[in-house]
Amino acid sequence: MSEAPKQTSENKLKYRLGWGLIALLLISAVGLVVLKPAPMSVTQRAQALDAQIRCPACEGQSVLDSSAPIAVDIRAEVLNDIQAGQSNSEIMTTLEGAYGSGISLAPTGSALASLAWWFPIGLIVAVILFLIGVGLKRRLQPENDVVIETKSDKRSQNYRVLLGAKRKLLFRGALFSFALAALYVAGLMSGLKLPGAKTSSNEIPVSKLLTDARNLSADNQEQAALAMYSQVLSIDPKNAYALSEQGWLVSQSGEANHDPALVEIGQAEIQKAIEIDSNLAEARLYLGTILFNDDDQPSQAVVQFQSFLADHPSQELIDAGRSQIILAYKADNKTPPLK
Amino acid sequence: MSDANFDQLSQTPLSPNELTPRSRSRVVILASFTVALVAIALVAILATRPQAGNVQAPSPLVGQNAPSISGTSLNGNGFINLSAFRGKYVVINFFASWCTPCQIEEPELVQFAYQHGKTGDAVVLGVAFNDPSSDAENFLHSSGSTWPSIDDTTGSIATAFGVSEPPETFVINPQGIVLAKLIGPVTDQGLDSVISKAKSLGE
Repeated sequence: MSEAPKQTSENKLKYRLGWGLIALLLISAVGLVVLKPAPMSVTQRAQALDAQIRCPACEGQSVLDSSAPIAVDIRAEVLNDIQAGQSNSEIMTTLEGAYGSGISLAPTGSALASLAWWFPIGLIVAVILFLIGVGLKRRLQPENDVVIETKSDKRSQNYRVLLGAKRKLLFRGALFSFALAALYVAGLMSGLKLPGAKTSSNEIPVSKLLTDARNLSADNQEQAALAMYSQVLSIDPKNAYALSEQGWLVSQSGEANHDPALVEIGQAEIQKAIEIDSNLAEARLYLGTILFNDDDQPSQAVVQFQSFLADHPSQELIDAGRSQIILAYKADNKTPPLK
Repeated sequence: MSDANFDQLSQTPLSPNELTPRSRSRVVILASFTVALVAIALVAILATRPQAGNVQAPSPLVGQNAPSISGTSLNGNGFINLSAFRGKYVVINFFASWCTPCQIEEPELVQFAYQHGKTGDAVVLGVAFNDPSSDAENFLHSSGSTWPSIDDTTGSIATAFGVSEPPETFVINPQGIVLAKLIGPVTDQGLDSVISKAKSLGE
């Protein structure tokens, strides 16, 4: 008897904690829907999708993790399709149409499709718990025609108290499941990643993107290289190297297509790169070349080439710019520092 | 080795109780010999057989309209469009100068193109896969191929055809339907058999 008050307060505490937890879950669910996280950027979307595409030329790798030529092609294609306004499922359907459904690493995890899988499971659990609760309640209802013997009366009452507690527990279990399901649905609605869905949380390192881009550029695949540089810039908008390479590729394509506006855009990007990193040899070389070739300003070009040579460029880079540098110095009536 | 043999023995219908120890060891020896012989034969076959060619691979594109291909030709003169070849069988060959099996199949493709150039029923269309255009051009030039080829700079043609790595070859019928996807090096004969089979089926 002396333990009774303690037990009651303990029960009360448990009772409150239980309801508190359910309330917390429901509030979180509402909160998730109201405070949606920011939508993914194009690059983030592309990377999340790349992580779900199997590299067709490699064993068990996603195209995000692979540097196989076809993986690079698929990454560029995905980025291109996203920029063209295609949805993830449209992009996957196209790829599955060419490679078969094996191209997909995870069941195409649209939030709705996962909901179709997970929501019924939560619902079934909740319903079962609820029904058990109802069944127990019925069993506990006193039946008039039953005569209870005095001796077993107390024991039977104890049993009922126990069952009553169980029923309450189960009822709260059912509610808890509902609240959990609500939280889950809210999470899906607000675009959170699913447990078990294979999405890569680690972004491709910028260095890997830059290496890929350099290789593509060396392979004369300027468009794909441009896509890679813009990926780098969306991760790190102040990456001077990516800016200057992108600017150079843009100005080159402008020159090839006789489009001075493109050359200007490229030049502006290279200048921006120099503002960020004034010791970037590549940017100085590119800017000097454009100033000399397109703008016909040899003296300004020479200023850039002087900075270029002062930045200790690699021999390869010097060789690439050698003829332009010599021509610019001569046009400016100066002695070229190179032979 | 002997463990594996015991495993195999335990799966045979003879229960160990039916065998005397002597006959049991004889079975073990016999089984070991058989396994060794099969292994040697397998290695010999794999080592001496010609490189697998004309391997037809499943593709969801088979039976479907071929994805469109258009672009400037590799040597820079002219525009190539797959639909312009309607009415002929088209052999679309994805290649790269850096790919050794592509070098192996190239004379076979030259032979095929030469034969069908005379009859006029089939053409070859090359698609350079992740290859600098100058390299691809040199490769085609040095192998004596004269068919039109496209530089797939962005890889969009390769991804549309579901290409994994070169060489991969697609046979398209005169109506523009994909008949077959062949992975690995192809031969003149292998391509002929795909086309003559299609002709006999009226495809």
